[in-house]
Amino acid sequence: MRTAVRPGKQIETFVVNLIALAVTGWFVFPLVWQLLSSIKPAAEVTANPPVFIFEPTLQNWETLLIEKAGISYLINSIIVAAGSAALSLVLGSVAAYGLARFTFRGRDSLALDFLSFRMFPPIVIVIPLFLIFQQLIIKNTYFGLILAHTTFNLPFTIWLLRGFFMEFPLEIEHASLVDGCTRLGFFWRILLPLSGPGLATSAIFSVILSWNEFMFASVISSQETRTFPVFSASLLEHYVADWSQFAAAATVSVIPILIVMLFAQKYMIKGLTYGAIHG
Amino acid sequence: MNSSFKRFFSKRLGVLLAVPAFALLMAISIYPLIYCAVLSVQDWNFLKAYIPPSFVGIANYLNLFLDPIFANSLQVSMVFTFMAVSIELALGIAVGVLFSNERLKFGKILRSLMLLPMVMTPVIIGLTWKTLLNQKWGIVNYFLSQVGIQSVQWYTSPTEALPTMVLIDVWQWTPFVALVVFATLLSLPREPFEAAAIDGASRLQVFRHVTLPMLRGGIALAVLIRLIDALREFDKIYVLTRGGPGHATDVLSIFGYRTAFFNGYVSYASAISFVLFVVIIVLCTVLLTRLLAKK
Repeated sequence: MRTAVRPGKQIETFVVNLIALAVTGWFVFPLVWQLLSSIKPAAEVTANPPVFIFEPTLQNWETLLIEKAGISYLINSIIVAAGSAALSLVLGSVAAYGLARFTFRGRDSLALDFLSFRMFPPIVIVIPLFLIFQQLIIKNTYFGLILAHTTFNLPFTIWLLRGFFMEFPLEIEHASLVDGCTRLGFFWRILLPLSGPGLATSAIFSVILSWNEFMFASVISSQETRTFPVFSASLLEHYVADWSQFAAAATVSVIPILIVMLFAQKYMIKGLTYGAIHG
Repeated sequence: MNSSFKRFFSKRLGVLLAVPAFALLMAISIYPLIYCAVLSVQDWNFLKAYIPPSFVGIANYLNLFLDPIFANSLQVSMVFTFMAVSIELALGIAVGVLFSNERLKFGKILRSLMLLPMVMTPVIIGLTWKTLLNQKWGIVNYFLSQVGIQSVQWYTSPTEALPTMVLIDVWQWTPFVALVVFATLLSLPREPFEAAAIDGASRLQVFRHVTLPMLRGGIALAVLIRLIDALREFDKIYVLTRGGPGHATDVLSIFGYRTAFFNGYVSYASAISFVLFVVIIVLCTVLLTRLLAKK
C-alpha cells in the first residue's frame, strides 16, 4: 500500500541519507586510498599531484609478501593471536562459569577485579614483563608474546562470557541437575555447546585485539617471532620509506578484520559495546 | 577422608573454577605491576646491568616532579585526552542519532563500514594518516590546495602535531561513541517519545529532555572507557611522530617507553608508568563513584 509522502519528508530523507553517506565516506576514505595506493606503480604513490588514473599492478604486494617475507610475519601474527585466544577461551570460560552460576562471598567483587585489569596501561606491564621474560628465556618466543597478549584477552573473555552465561535460562540448569548431571557435566555438555555466539564473540575479539597489538610485540618479539604490525611499522622507519609497500601492508592487515565484519557483524557489535551497555 | 575432600571441592567449586584464570593473571599482570612499583624506588639501568640496582626511595618520583619533560608529557597526555574525548563525545552522539534515523537506506552496510576504524590496527591507522597528511604529496594537502590552503604541516610542526593526533584519534573512536549511542537508542522504550509527541514537544525538545537523559548511563561508561584508552595512548602517536617534533606529542606512554627501551633507564621509566597507572585509577574511581551515586 502506498501512502502519500509530503515533499518536506522527501527532502529530509534525501538530506539524512546524503549526510550518512558523507560520514561513512570520511571513515572509509583512508582505507580506500590505501587500497588504491597498494595497486599503483610504486613511483606514482608519492606523486604530486596525486595520480587517480593508473595501470593497476600487484608488484607492491609481491615485494611485500614474498621478497620481504611479509607472509612469515602474517603467520607469526596468526600463531600469537590463535594461541592467546585459545588460552583465554579455555581458562576464561571455566572462570566465567564459576563467576556466573555459583554464589559465594565476594563473587561480584572478584568479577570486578577481573574487569579492572582492563585499566592497566600496557607500559606498566611491558617493562617488568620484558625483564622477567628475559630471565625466563621466553623473550622472543611465541609463548612469551602469547602470555603477554593474554593479559588483556583473558579479562575481556571472562567479562564477556560471564554476561552470556548469566543470561542462560536457570531452568535448564536445574533440569539437568535433577536428571543427574553434575555441575561440571552441565558446563561441558550443555552450557558450552549452547553458548556458540558467546564463545564466537570472545574468540573473534581476542584474535582482533591480539592482531592489532603493537607495544608488547615490539618489545617481546625478535626478528623470527615479529608480528605483522611491527613489520608494517618498520617499512616506514628507513631513510627511504616504502610508502607503496606500506599501502599493501595496510590493506593486508585490514582484510581479515573486514571479512569478520561482513560475516559476524552481530557478534562484533555485541562485543564492541559490551562493557558500555551491559557493564 | 575422600568424602570430606569431595565436599570441600563441591562447596567451593565456584571459586575454584576461577582460580586458574586468576592465578595466571596474578603471574602475568599483578606480579609485573608490583615489580614495576619496586623498580620505581630503585636506581637501575639495564644497559649498564653490571651496576646492580640500588634502593633510592622516592628519589625517582622527586626527580619526575622536577623534570620539565615529565611535566610536558603529563600536560600533553591531559590535553590529548581531554580534546579527543570531548570531540568524540559530541560527534559520536550526532552520528549515533543520525544512524538511528528510520529513513536511512542501507543503514546496516553503512553502519558496519563506519565501524572499521575502531577495529583496525592502531599502528596502521597512525601510518595511514602519515601517508594521507604528508606535507608534500599527501592527498589531504592536495585537496586543500584546490581551495587555496597551501601545504599544511600536519605532523611536522610543533604547534599542529598534537591537534593532528587528536584528529586521528577522533577518526578512530567517534564510531565507538556513535555505536554505543545507536545501540542504547535501539534498546530504549518507545512510550516516553510517544508521550512527548502527544504533548506537542518539538524535536529539539524531545532530544534535549527525553533522549539525552536516557542515553546518559550508556554514554557515561563509553566516555570512561575512552578516557582510560586515551590516557594510555601509545601506538598511533609513537609510529607517527615518536613524540615529536620536539616533545609536542610526547604522551606519558611514549616518554616511559623511550626511557625504558632506548635509554635503558627502567627504574625511572617504571616511576613514569606508575604515575600514569595512578592517574587512571584515580580517574576511574572518581568517575565510577559519581556514576554509581547518580544511579
